[in-house]
Amino acid sequence: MLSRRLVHTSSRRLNKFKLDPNYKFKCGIEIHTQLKTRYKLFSLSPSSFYSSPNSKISYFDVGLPGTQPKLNPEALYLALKLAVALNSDVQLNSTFDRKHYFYPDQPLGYQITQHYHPIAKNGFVELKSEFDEISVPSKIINIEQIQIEQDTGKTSYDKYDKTIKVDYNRSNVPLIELVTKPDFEDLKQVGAFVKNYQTLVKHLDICTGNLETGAIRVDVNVSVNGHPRVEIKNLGSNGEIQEALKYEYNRQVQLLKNQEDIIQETRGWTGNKTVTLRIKEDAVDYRYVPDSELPFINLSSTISSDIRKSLPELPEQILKKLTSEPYSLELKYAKFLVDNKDILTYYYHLIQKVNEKQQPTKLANNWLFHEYLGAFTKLNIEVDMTILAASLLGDLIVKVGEKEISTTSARLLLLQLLQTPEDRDKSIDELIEQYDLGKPQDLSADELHDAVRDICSEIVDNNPDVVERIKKGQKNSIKFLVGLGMRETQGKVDAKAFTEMFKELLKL
Amino acid sequence: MRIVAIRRLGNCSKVPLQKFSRVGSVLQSESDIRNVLNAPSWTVKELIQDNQQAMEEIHVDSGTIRKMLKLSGLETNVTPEQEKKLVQALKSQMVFIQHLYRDNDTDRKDKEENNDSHFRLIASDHKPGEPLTLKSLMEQIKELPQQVDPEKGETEGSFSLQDLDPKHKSFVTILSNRG
Repeated sequence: MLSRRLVHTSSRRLNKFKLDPNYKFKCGIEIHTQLKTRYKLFSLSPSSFYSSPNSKISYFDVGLPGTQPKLNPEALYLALKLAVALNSDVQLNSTFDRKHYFYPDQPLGYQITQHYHPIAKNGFVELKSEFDEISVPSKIINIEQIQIEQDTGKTSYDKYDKTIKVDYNRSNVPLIELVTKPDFEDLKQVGAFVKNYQTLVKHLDICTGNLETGAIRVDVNVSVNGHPRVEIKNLGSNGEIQEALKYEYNRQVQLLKNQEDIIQETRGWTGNKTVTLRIKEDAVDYRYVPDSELPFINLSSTISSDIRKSLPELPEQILKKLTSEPYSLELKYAKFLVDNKDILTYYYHLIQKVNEKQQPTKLANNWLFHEYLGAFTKLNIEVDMTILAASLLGDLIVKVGEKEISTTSARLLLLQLLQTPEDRDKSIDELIEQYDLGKPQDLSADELHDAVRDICSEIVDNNPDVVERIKKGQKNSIKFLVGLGMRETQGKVDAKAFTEMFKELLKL
Repeated sequence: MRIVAIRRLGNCSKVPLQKFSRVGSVLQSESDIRNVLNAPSWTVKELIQDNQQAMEEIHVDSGTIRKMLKLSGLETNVTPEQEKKLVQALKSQMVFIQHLYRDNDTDRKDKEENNDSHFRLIASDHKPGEPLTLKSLMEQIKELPQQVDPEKGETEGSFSLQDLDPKHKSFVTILSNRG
């Protein structure tokens, strides 16, 4: 569940692995990112996933003769957004080329890509220890180029009738390929870069950002002490990237220790080791030639600055803001909000509402992350920020802050609100009254004390086994009795009052 | 586009320039150009026949042939006779391709890089249109839904794979040589 992910840290996997200072790790990465467009790259068939096989295909997508490509401007726009956000030089003239290879998932016999003149060059990402899990204060990762290209179809092997089945729904879906310089000096930097990249593409609505569904696919190039580099292809998750890098680094170090040669090659990750896919001599000759059906992209010199102006606040700026006054969020919560834009928007509205009534931001932070998101987990329902308006949750938090309702009652009311749509049209005041959740205002302190004593005595009489356990030393069992008291009074009485009364009655 | 192609051939070192020298300054009108284009000055056949020596100089071994077959997605298990034929065919093609490259001494990588300038064949590669602004790009995006064309199979259901392969309802299938 979403809220559980908050407590998960990615550093766990890295704990046991260490780079040997005598064997310098060097790495560059290539990332393929599926663009979130309505249509495909060179045809206007829908670019959608999770559909029945071959239901989202046009004649061009399956390479039928007589069809011609036409660039989808959506893909160009998203590529430009990413290029600008990654501080790249957008190329005013870029072109498409054909990369030839024969495979059933590639119906044209070639992939249309940008080999000679990519859309952008020379970008960079700055990793900072302030926000990223890296060991140096700051690290620049240079981006060599960003290019637009087509995705391929998907093949699957059918053991039963010994056929390869091809689904072309993914064929011609727009991709961006990003190539970094070999600037990574350790695994943490790779992990931080990929994480930042995922967050950025998701934040800019360029891609879903999921590695697990194949929307982002990563290849890594690893070398040790300047020996030939080895490429590991198609890594599908952050975990796989880390594990494959660890394995490959250790393998290369071992070869060097044994005074064996490292061969320049392409390897694959099997889940527990890397294996040779092809060596340099066996490399595919792609025979790149310019595509003779696609005109080059001719951009205005103002397009980069215009796009920069149109970009929303970028993740790093948001992190800075959220971890500073007045929000003062812990970094992990701030990152969670940046990764979940709908919750971030909700959060801003909530804080505004709570602050308007002079209640502290800290109270709202606590309520959003622990009580509200936790309630979805408790009810085992998907987090949906549209269920409860931020203003209504804000009102509830304000009532807690003003001590108009106890925390326990507010929790109960929150669960009620999440489960009962008709209650969401009412005000918090109305709901407190309807469910009789307000503080017992018509009782004096003595009367309240007597009422608590009566309730506690009854609970003690009805639960002799629990009482016996407490008396034998299991002091924590008193919480069970307090819980019964809270339930009895629907949380209207402070838990502390019950605890003290039980201690008095049981002479603890 | 044909003019561009002619210009390229004119620049090629293997085509004797004097064949075109008579064109030179005479090419002043559209009909002059048309006349030149309608009068073939060389053929591929001629080129290959004239270059028997070049054919002899090209060395193509069995490994190259097999790699080419593999790259082309063709059957690599060929008889010696078939291989001999393929070697001849490949040599002829290589004579022609070498003819298209200006400098035959460069290595493969350089040749591939040369493709960038050799094969820019569409008019707009040489005469760009109006540069695209963000505003015009956004307008193009806005107009996309009106451009979806069922005749190109772009609307769901307008093209079914079953039309191509009635035996297989939803997948394109290929016989596998895996066990």
